[in-house]
Amino acid sequence: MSRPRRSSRGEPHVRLRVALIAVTVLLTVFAARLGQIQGIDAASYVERAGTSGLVTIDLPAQRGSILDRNGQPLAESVSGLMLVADPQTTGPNAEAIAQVLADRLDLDYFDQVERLTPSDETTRFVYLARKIPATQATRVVEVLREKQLAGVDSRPDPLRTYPAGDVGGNLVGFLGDDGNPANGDDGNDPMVGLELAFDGDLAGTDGHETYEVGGGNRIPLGDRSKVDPVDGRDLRLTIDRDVQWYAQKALCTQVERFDATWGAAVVMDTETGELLALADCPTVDPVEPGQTPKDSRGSRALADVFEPGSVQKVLTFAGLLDADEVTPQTRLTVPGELEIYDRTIRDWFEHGVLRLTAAGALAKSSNIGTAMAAEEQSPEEFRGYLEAFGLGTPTSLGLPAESAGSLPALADWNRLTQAQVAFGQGLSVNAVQMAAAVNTIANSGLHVEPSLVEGRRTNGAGLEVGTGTTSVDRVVSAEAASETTRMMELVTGDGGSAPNAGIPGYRVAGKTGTAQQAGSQGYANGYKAVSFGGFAPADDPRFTVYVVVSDPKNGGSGAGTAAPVFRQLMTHVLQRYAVPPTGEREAAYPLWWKPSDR
Amino acid sequence: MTVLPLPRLSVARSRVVVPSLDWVMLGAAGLIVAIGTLLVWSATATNDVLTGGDSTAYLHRHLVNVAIGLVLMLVVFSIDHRWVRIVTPLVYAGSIVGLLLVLVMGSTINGSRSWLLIGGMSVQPAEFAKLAVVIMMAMVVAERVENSRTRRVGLADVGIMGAIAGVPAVLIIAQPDLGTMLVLAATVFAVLAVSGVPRRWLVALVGGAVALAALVVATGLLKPYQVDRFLAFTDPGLDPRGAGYNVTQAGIAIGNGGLFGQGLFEGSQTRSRFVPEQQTDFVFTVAGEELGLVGAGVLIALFALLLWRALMVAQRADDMFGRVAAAGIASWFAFQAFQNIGMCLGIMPVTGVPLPLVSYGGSSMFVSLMAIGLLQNIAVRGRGTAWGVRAR
Repeated sequence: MSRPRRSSRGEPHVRLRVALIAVTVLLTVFAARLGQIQGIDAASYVERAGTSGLVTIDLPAQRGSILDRNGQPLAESVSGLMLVADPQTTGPNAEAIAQVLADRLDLDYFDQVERLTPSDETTRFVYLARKIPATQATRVVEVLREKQLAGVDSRPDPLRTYPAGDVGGNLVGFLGDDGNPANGDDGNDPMVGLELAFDGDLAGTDGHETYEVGGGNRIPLGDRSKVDPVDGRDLRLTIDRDVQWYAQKALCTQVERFDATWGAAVVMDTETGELLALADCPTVDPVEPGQTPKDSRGSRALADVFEPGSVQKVLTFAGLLDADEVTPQTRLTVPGELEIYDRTIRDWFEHGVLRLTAAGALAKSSNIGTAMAAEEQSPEEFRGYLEAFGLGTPTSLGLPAESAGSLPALADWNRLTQAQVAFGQGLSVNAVQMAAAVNTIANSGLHVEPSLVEGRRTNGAGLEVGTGTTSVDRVVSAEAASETTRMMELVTGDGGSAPNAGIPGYRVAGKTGTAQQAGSQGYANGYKAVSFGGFAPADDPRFTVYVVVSDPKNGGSGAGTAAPVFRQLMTHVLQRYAVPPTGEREAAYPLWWKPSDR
Repeated sequence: MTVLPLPRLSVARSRVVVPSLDWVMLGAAGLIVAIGTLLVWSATATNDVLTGGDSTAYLHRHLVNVAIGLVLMLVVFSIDHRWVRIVTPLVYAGSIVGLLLVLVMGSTINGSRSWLLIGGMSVQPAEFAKLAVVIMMAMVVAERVENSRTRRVGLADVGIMGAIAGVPAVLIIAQPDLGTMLVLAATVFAVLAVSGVPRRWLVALVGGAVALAALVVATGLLKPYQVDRFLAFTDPGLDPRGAGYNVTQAGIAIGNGGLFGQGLFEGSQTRSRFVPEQQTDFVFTVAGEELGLVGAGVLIALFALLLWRALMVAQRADDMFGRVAAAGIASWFAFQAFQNIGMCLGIMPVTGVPLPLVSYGGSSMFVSLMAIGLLQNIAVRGRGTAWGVRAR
């Protein structure tokens, strides 16, 4: 029934005491452990607490493409990757990782070692390299993983490419590092051109992601916030990539042949004012802008101004014709020299007294004849016409760094000013202004604002520009424009100053220009800018082409240097856009008059 | 009851002990709940993901839980012990049904199917099962011992108690909720020990448990994440992003506290939410970081006080039911606190058990406060109460 020997060890009270002792021991262990963690090892834990933290990285937006009028890309962003690292993790293996990066990506070994080594205990994020083609970057990360070198990761980083190379490069611009730390040193800052002007649209909005790092690693389910990037908008241009390519090629051939400083060629759609080509030489390859001299990396067609020379005479006569102060047959008795104040005005060819019609004065490009004709007009009226042609005010292309040129103020205007401006000296223009002015004649006397981008777009200066904003203003009557056109046809005809600008099968209106440019010490050490502006077909103009070449050597002239570029370009666009040849020619205006003709 | 029945043995060297609550235990429990409330608040105040931007959202809910728990505590305290024998089987049966329901229609949180959604509240039947098993076993022991001539626990009794614990244990393992299962096992062992089960059986039980554990691991019955947790316990650096992450971050947070802590609501690791489940399973790390060695030490000391008083209640209980139940509750609290704080301190593997009276969570808070109520009930009776007088 019951055992004789009763042990007290089975008694509940004894066992409860055992439990009490057990609890005491346990809690003592806790206290000891707590003391160890918080007292003895506290320093190392505090340090580790510091190495945990939040890391924020950028999620770059995909930059919009820049397309030509047919949707061909001039600039586009493709997927690339950036390599980033947590130096706290990579530090111990910095040399090994840097070796892989140097071998595979051609990155500087010592620079990478420095980046991979923690500069302090809190840095948890560094950029190693940006804009690496996705396949290469992915492969590097794989290799590092195989070698068990932790801490390097990749993130999206769109890569800008310029598939057309230097075609349109001076317009498109390029990205670089503007040296402003606020913009990062990612080489994504727009430097010049359309990339800069329309950066607001193109760039989009970068997103960012914040995540927690603890104990050296990203916490999988930790706190994170992510703002997705908003990709940029494409920018469509009026430029025709093929015409642009051809224009650059034709222009640069001539610039090189005549060892000129620079050149520009503008191809404009007469009715719409859209620029089909805006060529600059020297060209710039947006991928390697450093290959091009600094002052030629933008568009000199807009940035550089020059005295237009004889092309200006077209505008002078158009204004005179419009005001009915001159007709093409107005008889001018042109002396060999014209004295105004202390200055003697001469023509480019020696002559005695010539009996030129107004048409003849333009065809022969007589400075004296043009100045005499211009005396029919008051300074206000005369200058008013030039302003209406768009001279002295910037174009509406919306590109940065445009120079507006200058038209002398009325207060400074005297008889000599008027005479000089009449034949294109004493004022300055840029190539696009001059193209648009000549285009006014082609467009029946209506001045169309030139445009470079399609639609309505707002540039960085807050200007709304583009084909959707084009304004049209009448400058001269259709009749005056028509008469001016017929006078300009004489230039490219036999007996004109530039028969080599003619195109078989088409009626071509044009005008040469050769203008002395003031150097640092005035005209004494100056140079000349030669140009040719014109349009075709003269009976129903479709395109206006303006070419200027600055400082040609080897005897360059408007007729000899610029006119051939004009002819090549005009021929190209007429063929490319399948413009039907001209029908009947009208009777030419007489260049000369005889007293007996009366 | 307005009139106390007269003590029958009031003459002759017996003294009347004034019916009294264990105020020390109540005070300790009250302080633990108060500190716990602050810790839960601090752990959730900046966690907008949890609180939806309202820094006091969890504070409010926790206070509601405490209030409900206090009501339940009062109910349990005031139950006549004769009712206990009627209520106990019902409570036990109810918790078994709850555990079954969880397996059938429970919602899964963190890989375990442990929660029942009832009227918008999530209830964890396993928490209630702990208390139910303790009182059911205590009742059986009391019935057997007090009504048998031997007054000793026999093999059959151990078998019955094993069955009482076994049914919920199997259901809890099936969830799976390893932490609760371990707490239950330790509690059952303590109950058996206090019941007077011969020592060799206890030794055999421990040996059997070790063998079973080895078998479970060997046959792959444990989920991979459970094995990972135990491996991470042996070396937290093994996989600092995964299984060892909790342990590593908990250690960093506590270590960051130092002697006096960073101050309530000031802990950088807590603010940054590096420690997962910080308002529930890892709530002790908030105390460690923000209250420091001193504050966390005070919390541990309060638990020591509570457990000491609970064991005293067991010691002084005048009946087998009270003694076994009080000891069971004490060992349950002790082991669960040991498990929870131990895992925060990196000396126990990570198993998801709440810190009694501290962690956020309704079921745990309710059942913990109910247990306190039961302890008080036993204490009052043990010292000589409305239901009787304890003679010395």
